[in-house]
Amino acid sequence: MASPDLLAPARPSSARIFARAVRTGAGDLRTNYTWWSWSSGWLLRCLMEVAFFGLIGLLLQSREATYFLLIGRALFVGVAETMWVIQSTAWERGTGTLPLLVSAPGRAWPAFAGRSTQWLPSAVTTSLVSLLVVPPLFGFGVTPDGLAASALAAVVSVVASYGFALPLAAVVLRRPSWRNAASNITHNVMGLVCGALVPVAFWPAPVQWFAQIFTVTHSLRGLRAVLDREPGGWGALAAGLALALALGTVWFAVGAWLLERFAEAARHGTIDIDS
Amino acid sequence: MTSAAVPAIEVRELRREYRVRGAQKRVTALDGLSLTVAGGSVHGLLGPNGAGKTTLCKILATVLVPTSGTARVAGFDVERDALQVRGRIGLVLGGDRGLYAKLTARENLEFWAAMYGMSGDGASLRIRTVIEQVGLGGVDLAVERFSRGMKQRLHLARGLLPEPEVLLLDEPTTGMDPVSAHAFRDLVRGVVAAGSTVLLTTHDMAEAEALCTEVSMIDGGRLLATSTPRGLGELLTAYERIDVRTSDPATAERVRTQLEARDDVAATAVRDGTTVRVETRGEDAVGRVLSALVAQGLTQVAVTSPSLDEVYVHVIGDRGMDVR
Amino acid sequence: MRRVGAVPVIAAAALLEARMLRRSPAELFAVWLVPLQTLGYLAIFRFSGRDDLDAYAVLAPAIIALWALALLRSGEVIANERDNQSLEAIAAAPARLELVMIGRVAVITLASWVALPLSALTGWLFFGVVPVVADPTVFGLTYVAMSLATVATALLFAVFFVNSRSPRIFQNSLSYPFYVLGGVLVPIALYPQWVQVLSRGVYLSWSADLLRASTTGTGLQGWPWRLAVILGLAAVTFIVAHALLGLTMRNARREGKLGLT
Repeated sequence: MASPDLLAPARPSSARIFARAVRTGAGDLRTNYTWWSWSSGWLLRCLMEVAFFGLIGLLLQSREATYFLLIGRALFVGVAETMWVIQSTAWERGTGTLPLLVSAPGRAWPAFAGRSTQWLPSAVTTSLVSLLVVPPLFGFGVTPDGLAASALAAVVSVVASYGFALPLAAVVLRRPSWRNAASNITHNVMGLVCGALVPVAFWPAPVQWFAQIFTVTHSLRGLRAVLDREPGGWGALAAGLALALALGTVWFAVGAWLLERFAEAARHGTIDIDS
Repeated sequence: MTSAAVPAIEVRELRREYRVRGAQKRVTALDGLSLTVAGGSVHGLLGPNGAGKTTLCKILATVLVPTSGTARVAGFDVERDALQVRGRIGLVLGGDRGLYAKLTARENLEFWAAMYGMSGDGASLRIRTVIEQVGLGGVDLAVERFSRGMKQRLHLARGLLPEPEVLLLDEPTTGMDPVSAHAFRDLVRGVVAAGSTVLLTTHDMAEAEALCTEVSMIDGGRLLATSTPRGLGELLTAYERIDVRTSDPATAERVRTQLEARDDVAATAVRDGTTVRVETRGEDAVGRVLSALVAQGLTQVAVTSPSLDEVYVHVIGDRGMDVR
Repeated sequence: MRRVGAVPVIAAAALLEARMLRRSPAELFAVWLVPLQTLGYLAIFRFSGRDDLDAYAVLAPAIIALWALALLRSGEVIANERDNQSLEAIAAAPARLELVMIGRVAVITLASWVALPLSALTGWLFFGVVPVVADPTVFGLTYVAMSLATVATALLFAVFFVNSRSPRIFQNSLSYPFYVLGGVLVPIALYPQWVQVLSRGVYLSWSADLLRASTTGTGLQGWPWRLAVILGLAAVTFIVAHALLGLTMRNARREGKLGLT
């Protein structure tokens, strides 16, 4: 007979778990980087990456190409960094916390997803700084409009891409040794077709269709509309960002669902959670 | 082969201190240890974790440099003639790691053979021999699929591979099942019969007793005493005690008082309310006390050997050991 | 006591690394990514109507792969031994650790050579780039010299990483800065003078220039001494790596840092 004093434990809310996991992720970040090492190591390297592509424009002796490549790569660099979500989600498996996670009463996906948010602030900053610092070095000015559009695009691109990365992270959880390869292949393919290097229209039709699945394809198109001072640029930016966010949300939902399936499989023993 | 005149291992006033990062303290792992091991013997180093056994092995293997003092292996100084020492020793540190997980046992040993200057058919033959010796013949798996015991045997194979003059074994039977551990002892005897000297560290007194010609007891980086296996064996039996389970505290107390009155009982105590622990004194005491208990109808008895720590508490001084 | 020759140790270490790479080819993902890079650079050039730059687009990913593997795989060679707890065993053996490293790094560098045919194949399949080299001798010699310099650099990376508390940061930040300084895609002649001075200290810039020149057939003047510069930089790098490794090992034996505990 159950004691009347026994309270049924409430299932912890997903939001609470997510928030806690975010804190864990922040802890990860602090152990890996200091302000100094992040800016001199990571940020500098990203700025050099953007410059690498801008220099191609110099080789082509085309101001237009230079600007195109700079903007494309600068926005893309933060999105590429967001793909580390694929790796950090797999870390849960490596640290041996997986059995604890899947046997806890709450849902598993917020714990995985929350921890992986650690890359977002860095990714947004990296993109924003790249967009605002590198083009001037190549002789291109930044207008107030450009600044606002860049900030919006950077934030939306990174957040939406985080949603995109989650399903991939969930798949890679089943094969953690593939996480580096998966993350690198993803961001290289994305970088190739999303319009950062050449306009999406350059590619054959099937590739163009494929490029639409990436959220950054849409946010980049919107950003270019404002920076290139196209008529109706802000409208195009709003449309692009909205589409990116919507797409990102769909991907996020798929990712959360896959993560729950993974946790189910772990509970049922079809996955060896001790490895 | 080490000549009888030159000791296989000679350690004088060996000190090893570590600076602890962030603290001002220095940790002393070895505190003026002196030891001599004659060629052709199996010398045991017995001590709990943190006693300094592994540190000593590492210094003898030239992997670690002493803070002060000297150590000589096969007649060569570990600091000045490190290369000479390395060519004459085999080191078995054991454990789950230290092997190339993606390779097979044979592939691992092929690499190590080259590291010891072995090549060609001689090396292949030696590898085959050693693999058979440790019982891994015919195993074609990658090491990552090995059990803990199999890995331990491969570690041993690697140590034996270059036919070293001095073999340093650091807790070699950890993780081995009793059958393998038994086979391992035969292996060590064979190695010694072939002319090598073995330094074996362990925290298992029974193993030290079974295998070694001499046993040094070490703790806190110092040598406490050196004994023969017989001396160790006597310690083990001398400090055996009997645990008697009774049905209630009153009975326990009654039994305790009764036993305490006996001549051959050194001390008694009640543990966990109903168990009486009896420490005996003198030869054959255990047998007599047991008979007395059983005659009273107390059959829930267990005889346990002392742990290493308990032995250490008693050891210095007066227990009839050959103290060097 | 047996004499331990240098060549057998290097060969055994090379065989060890080759076997490990064969069983986990995913480790070489820097090479598998090459086709995507080649496609990217070719797309940029073709979009601008510049098919005279095809050679640049095909060569750059191959050079990048050499450096990337040195950074990501070779750089971890000592740290991996330490994490694997086999570093102590190597230190206790009569063979020198440096020779083990050279053997392993040499195999990794050779493995990265696959990037070149992979890049050329990609260019040919997707953009019809004909893989023709105007001066194969100079090309071959340059590739070898560049690889030797890469081995030396990789040894230096390995020494740095094993001494560093966060090697990941090095690994992630030493990529693009050196692709820029090394002029792997865009020749350094296009840079401001002061950057060119810095770039001249990086063997990649000399190698990339010579490889492009030997492919297109133009700009080959003075190639012997340019080759000598690459080898000279390799030698200097090796000497520094050798000295630092000796210091590292001496320090490790003193501080007891060869194991994990």
